[in-house]
Amino acid sequence: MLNLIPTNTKDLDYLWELVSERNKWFIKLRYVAVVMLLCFYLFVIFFSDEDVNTLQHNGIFAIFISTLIYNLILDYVFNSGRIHNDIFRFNPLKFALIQILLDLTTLMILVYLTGLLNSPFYLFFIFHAIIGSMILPGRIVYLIVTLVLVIFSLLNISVHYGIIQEFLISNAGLIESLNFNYIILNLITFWLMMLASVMFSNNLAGALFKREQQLLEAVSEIELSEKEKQKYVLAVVHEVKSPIAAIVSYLNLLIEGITGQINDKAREVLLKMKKRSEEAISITNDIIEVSKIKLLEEIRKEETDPEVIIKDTIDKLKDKFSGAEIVFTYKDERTSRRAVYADRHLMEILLSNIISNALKYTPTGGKVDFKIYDNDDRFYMELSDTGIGIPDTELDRISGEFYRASNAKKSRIEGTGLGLSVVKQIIEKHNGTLNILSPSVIGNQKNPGTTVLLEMPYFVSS
Amino acid sequence: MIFLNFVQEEIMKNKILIIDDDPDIIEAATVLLESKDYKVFSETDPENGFKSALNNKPDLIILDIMMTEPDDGFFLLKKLKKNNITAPVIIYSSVSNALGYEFGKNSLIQVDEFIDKPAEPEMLLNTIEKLLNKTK
Repeated sequence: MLNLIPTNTKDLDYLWELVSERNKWFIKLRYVAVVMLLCFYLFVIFFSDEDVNTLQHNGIFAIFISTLIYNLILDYVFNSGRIHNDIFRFNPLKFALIQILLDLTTLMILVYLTGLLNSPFYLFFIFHAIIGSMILPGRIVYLIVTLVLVIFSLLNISVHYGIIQEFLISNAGLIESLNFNYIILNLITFWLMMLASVMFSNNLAGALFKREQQLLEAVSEIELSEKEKQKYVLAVVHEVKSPIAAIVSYLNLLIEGITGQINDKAREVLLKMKKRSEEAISITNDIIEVSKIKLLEEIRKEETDPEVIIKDTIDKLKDKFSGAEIVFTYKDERTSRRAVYADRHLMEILLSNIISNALKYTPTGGKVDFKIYDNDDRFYMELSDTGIGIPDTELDRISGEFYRASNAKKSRIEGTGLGLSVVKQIIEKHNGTLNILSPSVIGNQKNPGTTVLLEMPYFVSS
Repeated sequence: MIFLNFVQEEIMKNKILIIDDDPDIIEAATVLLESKDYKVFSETDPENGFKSALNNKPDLIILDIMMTEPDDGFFLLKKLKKNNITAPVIIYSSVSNALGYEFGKNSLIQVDEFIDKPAEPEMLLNTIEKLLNKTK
């Protein structure tokens, strides 16, 4: 069983992906080579000396045609799904090996037909040695390269002794007439060049591959520890929230008069206590939300009508709009009513976050515009307000965790700085992006406002 | 006669079982519910909670999620349903929304209502009333 897997490979899927990518690249590159072969053939016909004979003509043309044909076949096989990411089946590495062997054979014939050591093409062997080293394990590349060197040397020596016919594409010195020591010197240099190329590129490719794998491992470790951290945060927050919840439960009994009548002054104090405790609870809720979204391995995407979620969320928040005397408009500018592939629950959280934010930071008498539209296969949600806006220098930090704009802090509006972070997490889980603009598209001098632009694909296959 | 009336009222009262590891939450809820004439039982751990559910046959159960283990409540809920305890269950937890999202859609466990701690007394009472009316 021919094992082509490099030693110390830990992530096979990654290897297959890498080799497949290179295979694709080889096929593309070979089409370029085919064009170059055609150019060379035309050059030979129109510009070269009379020395070029019919056999060479036909040979070069045959190489052009056969390279084109086998590349078309390789291209077909590559795209036909016959290559399996499986060590024991026809896999990308075996496919790469076949490609390299076909290329080397073709190249050897071309080099022979164009003068061996006198051929301008034999340096391409070095190119192939390097490419091979990038993909295949060292021992296989050394074996192939040695075979190429032996055949090349034998051909040169045979030509020198007149054992086989010599071809030239110009009337440069015949190998037959060259000094044998000179030929040997040339060959030795070529051997050294080839083997050194393989050695260096193989080492480099090996080291690079190892590094990439280490990097991937490190990333997955970081992800894992991030998950652990979030679990810890969730547990801690729960511990913090529980006693506050108990306090509020007791406060409710007192305030509602269930435990007995209390005087107005005491009631006022109790209400203040309740308000502050509820602030603490709302902060813990925000943190729980962020941790929860980060912990989600997968989200439950389903075909959902965005309009329904949006209207539901607006309905829930309606009272707050009229209470604050803010004019809210909603427009659906989509070309057609299409469903998005989204997690309903997360979308509700997202919408309620951005709409509440707009409400919170827009002064009385202000405006909040919400519109949805589409462009190709992407779905857009744009929410603009005439609120306090976000200072220019802070725009790129605003969606970070616990970050609050300096003017929001000064305005003494309560907040944790987690809202937009939640929005960002959610939209990213839907392969979308969040953009914040300030001043907003409806802002004015006094109230610059903020525009939150969310964008996501309508449908994601995965 | 008066005595008989009293007994009758006791029988008529809806029985509510609270299972929560926080005794203060239990106490606050008990005071509230008793003020509305419910008969309240309570337990602070899932095992005794299960026994109480079998013995006292409550009309409604208020259940915490994170007790000794972070998901005790859900296991107890599963066990209750398996043992044909059909009383409606309110999940009353400080992370109910967070976990409810993940478990709520799971058809294996039917949850009647999620309430986030701490609940406004009126809201808790309304939810209880609503669920009890449904089962009648």
